[in-house]
Amino acid sequence: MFNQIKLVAGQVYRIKIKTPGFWLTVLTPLLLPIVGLVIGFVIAKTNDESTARLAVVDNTALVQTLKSGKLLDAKISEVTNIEVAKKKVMADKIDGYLAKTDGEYTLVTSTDGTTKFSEATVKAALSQIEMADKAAHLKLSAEDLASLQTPAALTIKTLNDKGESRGGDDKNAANSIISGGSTIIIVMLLMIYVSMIAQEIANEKSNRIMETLLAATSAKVQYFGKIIGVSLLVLTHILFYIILGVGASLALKGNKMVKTVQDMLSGVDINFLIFTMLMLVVALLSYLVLTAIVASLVNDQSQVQQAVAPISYLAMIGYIAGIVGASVPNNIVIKILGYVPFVSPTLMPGRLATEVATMTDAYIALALQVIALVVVAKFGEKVYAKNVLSYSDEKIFKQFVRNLKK
Amino acid sequence: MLELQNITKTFGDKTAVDSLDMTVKAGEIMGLIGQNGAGKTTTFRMILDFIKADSGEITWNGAPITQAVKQRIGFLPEERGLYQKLTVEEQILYFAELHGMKRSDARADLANWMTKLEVVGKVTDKVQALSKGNAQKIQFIATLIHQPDFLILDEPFTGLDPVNTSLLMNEIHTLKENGAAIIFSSHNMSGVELLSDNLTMLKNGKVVLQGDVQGIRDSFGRTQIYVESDVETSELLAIDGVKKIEKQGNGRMIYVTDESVGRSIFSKVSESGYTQAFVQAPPTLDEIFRKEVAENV
Repeated sequence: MFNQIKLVAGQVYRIKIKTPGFWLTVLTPLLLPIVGLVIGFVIAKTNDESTARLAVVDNTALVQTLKSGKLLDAKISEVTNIEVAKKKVMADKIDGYLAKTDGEYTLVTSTDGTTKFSEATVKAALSQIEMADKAAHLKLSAEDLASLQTPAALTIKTLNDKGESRGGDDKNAANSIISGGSTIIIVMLLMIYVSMIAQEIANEKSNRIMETLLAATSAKVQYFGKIIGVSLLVLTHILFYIILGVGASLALKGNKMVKTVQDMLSGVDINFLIFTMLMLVVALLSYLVLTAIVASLVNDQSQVQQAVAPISYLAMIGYIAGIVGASVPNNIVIKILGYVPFVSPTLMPGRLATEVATMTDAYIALALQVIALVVVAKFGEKVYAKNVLSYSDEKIFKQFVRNLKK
Repeated sequence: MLELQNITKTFGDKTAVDSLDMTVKAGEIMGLIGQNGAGKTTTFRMILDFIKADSGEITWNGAPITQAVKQRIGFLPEERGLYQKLTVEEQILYFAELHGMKRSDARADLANWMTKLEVVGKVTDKVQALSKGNAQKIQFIATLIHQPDFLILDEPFTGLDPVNTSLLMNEIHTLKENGAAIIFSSHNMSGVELLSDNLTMLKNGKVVLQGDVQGIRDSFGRTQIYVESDVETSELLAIDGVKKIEKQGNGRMIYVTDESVGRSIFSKVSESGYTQAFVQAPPTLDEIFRKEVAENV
């Protein structure tokens, strides 16, 4: 029997992996940023990329300070008065001018120059100059000024279930990003592969291939073979991105964005990561099993979307509850939902990341999901065998309920 | 050897198969005939363990049909089904592997089968590109490629022209000679007569006739005589034991009360020393089918 399960799984995998549709699905998330980068590149290329040209009106000291301190990413020059500055702006000789009257600064830019000066950067540069002036006026030393500017030191620690203090803001932030990301990944993978396994079964049923297959094998072989085959496709999908991620981080060593991601990942708690991965695997298997059961009830391909829609909604419950419950994490309904099988995979990682739930809570949710997987798989085996060769006019939901009762 | 003992299957109030006993030995072909809904497909489904019998026992060589035995069965379902988007080779190799055959062996045999069954197309063609007849041949190859010990064919000749029917019949005969036990259903009575060693006729799930084909035909007696002669109908009707005479093609069909009446008729039509046709044969399977099944509903 195991050999036949291997054959069915291999066939599902081999056929799907060769289709352009599968690779399009895998590559779509990559295509979007690539399209974004291309558009950004085109815009940047067609835009004026030259350094901003700023003229300071009749203030040699300010020109010197700006130039020597390299406080602004701009070509600094000096003009004698505002009229000259205005003329230069109109003639596109400069992108803007900075004037100081009665202790107040005014920055005037050309239409094109607006985007070349960031208000925050200019404000920060001018504040720094003002502060240095005032410090000099108050006869403060450089050390005194540095001391005044030092922010208050704060370390955030968390008491976990073992009573130990550990980690802090960095870890929580990293876990939150991972949990948010993994929830989206779980939901996305579920949508794709729930639909795929349903199509696969409905195709064999509607094309009347099932009888030929069951004559050589058994419903059990077909049921588990298909689930394993599609699971292998999910694994390929995930592995593709892991290899791509590792490859990109090696190839783009030193890149600012890669470094940011690496720093973020280095803050992830390993126990949290293990739990999330385990939950991802169990959740995917559970949803594939559930879909295989529902797909065995459809008569033809046109019913597939209708049949799998409730499964997609189920996967979304945890995700939405996580967002809605973010402000009230200790709400009793959200708390309970965190343990409910089929909802917990998209809810519990988020609760764990924000330390609303403990690791014990998380593993209880995982254990409940594993139990649900085993029960549903056993139940599904019977339902699949019973329905995969029967073509009923009854509504899918009614058939499902009827099967539950028996 | 396949044995069905006292098999009964009901669906709600309807008894689909009622106390069916049947034996198919190795190297033997059993024809299963009956009207639509007589219980033929249900019988096949029970043999293949798609559905369970309510009572009775189905065995292969004295033991229940296991998964290993199922791998040695070739099954052609009534409703044909293939993966439309796969190539001929992809699906035949898959089906062959499921039946325990090596992929390399199946690939080698496939070319041979394509030639034998005169399939128009290449092994790299997708099934959706094949004609209905050729797709049917591919399904047939999928059923036979692993040289099954036991073959179940549900309406194998439906939709095929006489030439292709004859091609498939030859292959079924070859398998029989190689020792396979074969059971098939058909509405084509002449096909059943040509192919079967034994037949089982079902009516509303019950066996109405069972045995070897010639024996069944003979059991109905030779009470119909076809003649082509110049002798007047009135003269023939005057012979003792002649019940009625019907025009049939170029000749006449004479219905008699007893086989021995044939001698008197023969004497009469050959008085002149010549007659074009005189056939005193038992009823055909088609006639028996109509008599036993259709007319007594």
